[in-house]
Amino acid sequence: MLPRIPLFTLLATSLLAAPSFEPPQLPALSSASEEIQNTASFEAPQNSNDEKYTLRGTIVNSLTGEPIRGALVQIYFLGQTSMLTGPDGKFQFDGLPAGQTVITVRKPGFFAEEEIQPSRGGQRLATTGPNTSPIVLKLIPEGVIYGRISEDDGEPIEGLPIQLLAQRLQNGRKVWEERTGTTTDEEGMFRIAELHPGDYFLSAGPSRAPVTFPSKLSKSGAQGIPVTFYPSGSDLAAAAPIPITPGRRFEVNLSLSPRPFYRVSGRIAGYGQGQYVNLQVLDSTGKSVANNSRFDPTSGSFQILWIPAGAYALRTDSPGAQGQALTATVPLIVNSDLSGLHIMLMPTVSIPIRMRLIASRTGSERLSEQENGFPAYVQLVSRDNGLTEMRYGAQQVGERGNSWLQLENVAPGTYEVEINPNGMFYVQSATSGTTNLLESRLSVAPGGSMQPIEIVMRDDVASLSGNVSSDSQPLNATVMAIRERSSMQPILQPADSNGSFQFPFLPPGAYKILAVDHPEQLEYSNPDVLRKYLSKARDTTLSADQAARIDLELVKIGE
Amino acid sequence: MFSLKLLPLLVLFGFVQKAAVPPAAPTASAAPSTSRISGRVIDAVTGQPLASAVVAIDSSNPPNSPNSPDSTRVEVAAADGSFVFADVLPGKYVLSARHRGYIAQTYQQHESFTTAIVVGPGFESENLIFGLRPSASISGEIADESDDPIRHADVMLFHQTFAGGKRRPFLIQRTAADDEGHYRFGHLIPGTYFVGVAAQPWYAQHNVRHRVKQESQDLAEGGLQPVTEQNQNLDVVYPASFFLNASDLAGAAAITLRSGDTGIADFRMRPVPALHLLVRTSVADPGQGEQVQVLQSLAEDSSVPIPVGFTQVEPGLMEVTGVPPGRLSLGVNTSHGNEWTRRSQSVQVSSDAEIDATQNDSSVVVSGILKMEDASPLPQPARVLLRSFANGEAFNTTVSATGEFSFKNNPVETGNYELIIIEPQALFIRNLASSGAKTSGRSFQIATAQDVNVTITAARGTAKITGIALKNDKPAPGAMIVLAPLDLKSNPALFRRDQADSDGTFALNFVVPGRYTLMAIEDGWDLEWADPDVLQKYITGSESVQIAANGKIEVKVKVK
Repeated sequence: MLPRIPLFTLLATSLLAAPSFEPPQLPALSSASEEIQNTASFEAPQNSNDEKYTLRGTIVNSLTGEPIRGALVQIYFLGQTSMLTGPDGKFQFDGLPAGQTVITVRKPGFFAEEEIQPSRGGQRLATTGPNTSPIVLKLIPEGVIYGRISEDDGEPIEGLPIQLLAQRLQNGRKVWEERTGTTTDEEGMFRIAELHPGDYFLSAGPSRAPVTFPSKLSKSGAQGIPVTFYPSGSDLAAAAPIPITPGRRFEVNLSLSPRPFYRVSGRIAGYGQGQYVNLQVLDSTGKSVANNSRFDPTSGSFQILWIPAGAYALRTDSPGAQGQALTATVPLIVNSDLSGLHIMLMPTVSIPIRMRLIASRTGSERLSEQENGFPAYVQLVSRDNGLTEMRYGAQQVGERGNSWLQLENVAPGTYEVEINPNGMFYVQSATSGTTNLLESRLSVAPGGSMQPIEIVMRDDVASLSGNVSSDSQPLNATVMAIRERSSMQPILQPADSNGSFQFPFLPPGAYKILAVDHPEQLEYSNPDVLRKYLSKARDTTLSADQAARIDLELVKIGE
Repeated sequence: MFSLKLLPLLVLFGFVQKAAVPPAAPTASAAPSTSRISGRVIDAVTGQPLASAVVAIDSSNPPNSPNSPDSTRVEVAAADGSFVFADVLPGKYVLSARHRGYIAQTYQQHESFTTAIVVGPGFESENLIFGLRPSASISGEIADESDDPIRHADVMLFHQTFAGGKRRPFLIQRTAADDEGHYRFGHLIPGTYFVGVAAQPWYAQHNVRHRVKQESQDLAEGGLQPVTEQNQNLDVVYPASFFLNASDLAGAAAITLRSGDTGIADFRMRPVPALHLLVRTSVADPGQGEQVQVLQSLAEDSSVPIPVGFTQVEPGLMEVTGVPPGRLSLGVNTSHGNEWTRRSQSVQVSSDAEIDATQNDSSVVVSGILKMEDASPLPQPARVLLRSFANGEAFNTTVSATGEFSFKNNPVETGNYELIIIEPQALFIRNLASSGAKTSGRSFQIATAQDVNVTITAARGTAKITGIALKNDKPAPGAMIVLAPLDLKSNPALFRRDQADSDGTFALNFVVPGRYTLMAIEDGWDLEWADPDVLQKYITGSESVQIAANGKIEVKVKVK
């Protein structure tokens, strides 16, 4: 790391200097007016610089309204000035010039409002000058989930993994995320703090080793704690969310019974001599569970010493000859000791990609001829594997001057094909044999070679511009172009604060156009969710090279 | 027996074995006579039986040939604490037990040694009394000067224990305080403990005081945090703190725990003004990168990194902010292209100071060459370890196929050091030579701040000693076996130890050829055997043995 040389950012007026060490991003003044306390008094400072002003205010708990003592308040006038609030939650900075500053507030156990909802507003601003009033800033208290895990006889369970999961919208799709995890202590207690408001799911277990051992470890009879989702049961789909609101302390006490742990054994074939095979047992969430598996490369036999009853996928991988990896994934339903499983490793598949660009505009064809300049980036996405998403990215193969993109070491399965053009192009067609990849998923059979994915792209894109109107000011709108009869993801374009927007390029075709205030709260990849809003969308059909205009009414999500 | 191997059950919890284990060899062809291992598990303090204790036996294999987990047998103790393993084949077994609220241990465990149980005709393997000690704990709260909890405070537990035959505090556990400032160390054995805390005020603002000379026109005149009273109040640190109100381990209050005790150690951290250090470095070129790292020394062999800030005031001059008073190790890393070199020095600071790191170098780089006595190629991979006699601090580095090694990433200060070949294990140091440093046995002395070059001559052929410890001509289970080199001071790496098994037998592996004194000491487990004065009275009158390369010798030793 290089030494940190303070960088000093000078803004439009010298009064609005940003700090030197961790410069907060100052929003454009036009969009920030809502954030400024006492808007009426905000005017460009007209007086001379020698007038000094005071900035005072109070920090309060957003939940209780009580003042918060010892909170760190920082402002940025000609560098950073910091102070802690007094016992009454009050702060006061004297001798300031007139102007405007970012103001930040911190205190352990609390979140700043902009931390919880970064999309709503960004940095806080405060104004100094004549006739300003004291300001009030809120801190949001953290949530905590804590509790105790015991066996049904009340004895604490030590060392049990506890994991919080939450759902989040990513590109309009609900995805699961692992959040904080911990393990229970000697008394079976656990505690997870610093939680943002939201819904959490809690899993406890499985225990990494049995709690009861058989008389001989090679015999069956071990018992352990299987995975349990709050409030009970082993199924995430049936789990209840723990609603964490600001300041919520949520207690989770679970009484869990040891259940039989089973042994699974069998034989793996198909790997190269002297090669190692990696074994993974994935639970229904796609997480690797038991790492107490053993594999003997000389005989091919494998053994999983302890695994709770349940439905799993047993995934085996081995590096194969000539760089073509081997893999096999078999479902594993465990409700007794299993032996004699037979797993055959199969070669993974490489899929070449042939791309063609039909260019009608000057300059386009040059890009497709450039070395390394492929007109699109291609990925295979599998979402069949529990909570986790698996992606394969295409890689460049071949030699200089004769190279193409290829998807390598693809395990058998069914995939969505994502094609992201690298310029003002659109995908006219994408096929694999007779399969139209714009409408259907790609099925990869084990061990075979695949015919290439053929992608045809064009550059005769259309464009769409327009204006969003709304009764609320300032305007915060994002326009969505939703392709009809296609698996293609909606295309998003934020509008400026006046509501005007422009899609510089869209594939020709029929669209529903929708303007929403908070796309990050809309599960727009789910057609059932999106359908509710489509009645408020406007239809438009774009032809090649067309530049269209459309005006929209803002649709508020959740109203 | 030397228990470098798997301790059954203790290890079961962390059993992560990827490589396949060879199937257990068939033990005997004809139906052998079997015996029982039996006994009772009791609370070592009260003598009460421990019902439901989990007891395990695992056949005792020589080091480097780990047991198959399938060889482990487990029994659960009955209501009266009794356990029986029936039909046990003749052999040596490691016995271990655990029970909730007690410390899991092997039978008559001392350090990592145990008395293994020998099973067979004529051996006593029944009616064993296995005492488990209730585990103790230390917990507490870390609060700041306003009585707010200090979440994530770094809490360190030191245990006054034996290592290498010396009794001194070792950092054994480390944890972070939770959001309520609470911490807890569990599963503690009886003994003497110390607790220390390293934390920083969450609100601290360490502002740069010195004007940065910079050609960039973007840098405004007032580009630094203004030195206001408000900012000054927040330019604070917490000095490291030891229970009770001590600034270092030497002044810390011992927390003595008996079995089952619950110790409490609460902390209230008090801020002091952070120090600003001006560090003069040898960097002249503005394009050269510089980094400063500061470690605060807490005890002989433990230090914590301090999250200091550093700013180049001008090439060759750095301002270091957020520095606590006390004994610090100040490291300066300088880039030369893609290469970084590190120089460090130990400083004691109590106020703002200017430190000249250009002259510095009390730090010395040890490097050298490792060659085989018979001029054969050096087996790979090879690693050597450099250990300080003063504080036990040790670093290891790889040795190239041509024998070169260098501790250039770990410069050391003057003092006495020891070199050890840690890989391959079959090699031992025959001789140490250096042009710049005085050598003695496997150790050498760094007297001046000059880099040291050491030539290690290594040889193959470590020996093995097996034997039996006898007291009045009867086996003496549990005795501490010590094999001590004649030159006690300069060769700590030559010591070998074991604990006599239930038939009095022991084994000492990887013995470096040479002349030794072999001793069996009853109740010797509390001896500071690394102290020549302590060991001397046992050496007097003990037999000395000459061990040849690749030797396998068998001996009888009388217990003292």
